[in-house]
Amino acid sequence: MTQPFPVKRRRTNWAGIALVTPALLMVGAIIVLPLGASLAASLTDYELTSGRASWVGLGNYFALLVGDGGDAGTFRAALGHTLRFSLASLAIEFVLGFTLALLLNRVVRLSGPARTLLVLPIMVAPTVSALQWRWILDPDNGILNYVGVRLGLLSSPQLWLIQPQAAFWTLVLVDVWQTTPFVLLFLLAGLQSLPAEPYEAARVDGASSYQIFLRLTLPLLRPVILSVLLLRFMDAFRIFDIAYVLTRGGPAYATDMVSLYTYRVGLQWFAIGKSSASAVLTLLIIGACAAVLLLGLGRRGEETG
Amino acid sequence: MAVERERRRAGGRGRLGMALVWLLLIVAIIYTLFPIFWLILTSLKTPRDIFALPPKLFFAPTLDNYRYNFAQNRFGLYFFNSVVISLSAMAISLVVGSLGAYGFLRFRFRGGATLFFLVLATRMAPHVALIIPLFVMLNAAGITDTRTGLILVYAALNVPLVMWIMSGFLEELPWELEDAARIDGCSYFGALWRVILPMARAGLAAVAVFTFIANWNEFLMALVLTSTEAPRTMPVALALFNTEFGVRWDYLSAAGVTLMLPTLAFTFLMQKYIVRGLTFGAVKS
Repeated sequence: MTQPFPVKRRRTNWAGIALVTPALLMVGAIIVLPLGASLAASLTDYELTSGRASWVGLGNYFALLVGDGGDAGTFRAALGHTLRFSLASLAIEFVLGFTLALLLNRVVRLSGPARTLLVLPIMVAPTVSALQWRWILDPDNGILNYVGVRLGLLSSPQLWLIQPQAAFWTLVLVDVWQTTPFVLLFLLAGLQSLPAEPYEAARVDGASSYQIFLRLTLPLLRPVILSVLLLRFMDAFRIFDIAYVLTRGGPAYATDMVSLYTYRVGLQWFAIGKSSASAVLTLLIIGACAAVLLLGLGRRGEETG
Repeated sequence: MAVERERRRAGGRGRLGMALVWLLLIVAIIYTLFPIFWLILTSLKTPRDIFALPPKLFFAPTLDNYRYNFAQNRFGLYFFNSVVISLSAMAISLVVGSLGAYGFLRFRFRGGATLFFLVLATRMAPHVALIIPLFVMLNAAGITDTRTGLILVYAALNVPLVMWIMSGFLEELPWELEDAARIDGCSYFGALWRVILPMARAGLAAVAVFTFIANWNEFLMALVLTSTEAPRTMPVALALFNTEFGVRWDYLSAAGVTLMLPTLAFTFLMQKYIVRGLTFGAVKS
């Protein structure tokens, strides 16, 4: 995206300015300005209830990262859960998505319909994904408990969302269901854009499928793999909808996430300064990932172009 | 293409290999479709059938839950809100974003490329970092808890996406035609309207669907920026529905399906563009 425009361009005049101004104004007012405001508020002890604000420097950040400690309900606990959630989801989605992409890439007939069915979850509202699974996992009437007990896999019906570990893995499960199709589509696009020549050469040399995968496919796909991992991590780290509908951070903050923490502290406890600091930390983590992603893409663009 | 086929066949290891591949794919398809299928099935059941154990696969389907949602649970209002907000915001971001993309593409600015890149990069801003300032700003403007407020916010949030996808489409158009129209005496906007717009139609359709679904599914902003029923959208209604009335799976499942069906239909239609739309161009598709 940083490559120069191939289109012949005119020097700017009133028409050019008129075209880009509305877009810049909207993005400036609704995205950039609030980001700046969050940054500014994070350096104060602004509370919505009292309306007073005074400068506290990095005090809020210190409180979040050190002062509050790491007990249930603190930022550090939420950060820990969010990282664990993101990495667990990422690992499972990657293995599943890659496997499915490799399988689909081998299929010649009916690969289109199979792909269509596999990617259906991708645009389902996260609130609905969460709802579906809540119904499947329902303690009294859910089909999972029923079938599990019937088949002898469960000794008794489980309260999936009441047990800390089970609740955490339920969030992972829902996220995996929802976003594996994205990893699949992304890697499939990567696989289908690989050049054919090295494969022919490898086969002539008598390489096995396993060797070809390890020595050829993986290295060739490396940039695509890194991109999808970063994009998915950025997304997973922002988890809100699914967690809000399924657990709201419970039981007893066991599945509290950074976004839920930011929401709760800011909009329920009205501690705007602290909530903003939490939001800015999220922004920094996501921003770092984005920077790595974009720099990597830029470099790749230079190499190929 | 022949090479591609050859490669795949050689990798498939004959009929047994292919059977295994399909077996795994079918398991994956069942896992993917089951939750959707189960929610749809539940939404067509009477409460008695829903709570029957063992769960019923065969039953007399009814649309009562949908009817009740729209007649009694105010889902008519929430549905209307979701449609109006999603469509209006889509229209605004489409016009503003594609004109912006065209402007950046066709005119030289000092620092234009950097500015364009920065606008695109705002797409990655986590929404949780925007909610409190937006809440305060909308409050000051007197448009919290209104459809107008949500429309403005959704429209702006989608502008970077529209610009990103549209600039990709616009780059590939035959620009000589526009120059020809200009020589024939068309104004800038005349050429844009009569020459570029018709050619960019496919791109616009893709972006339209994309932004519509993003708005349709959006939850966090709507949760924060609305509080009463009047401007409530379906995702928020769905999340609050849980707590207000206890868990009524009959109504809830029907509400979930109502929210999900349009997105499923669009996913069918828009597969080609999904990767491009969701990835910020990390893969050219």
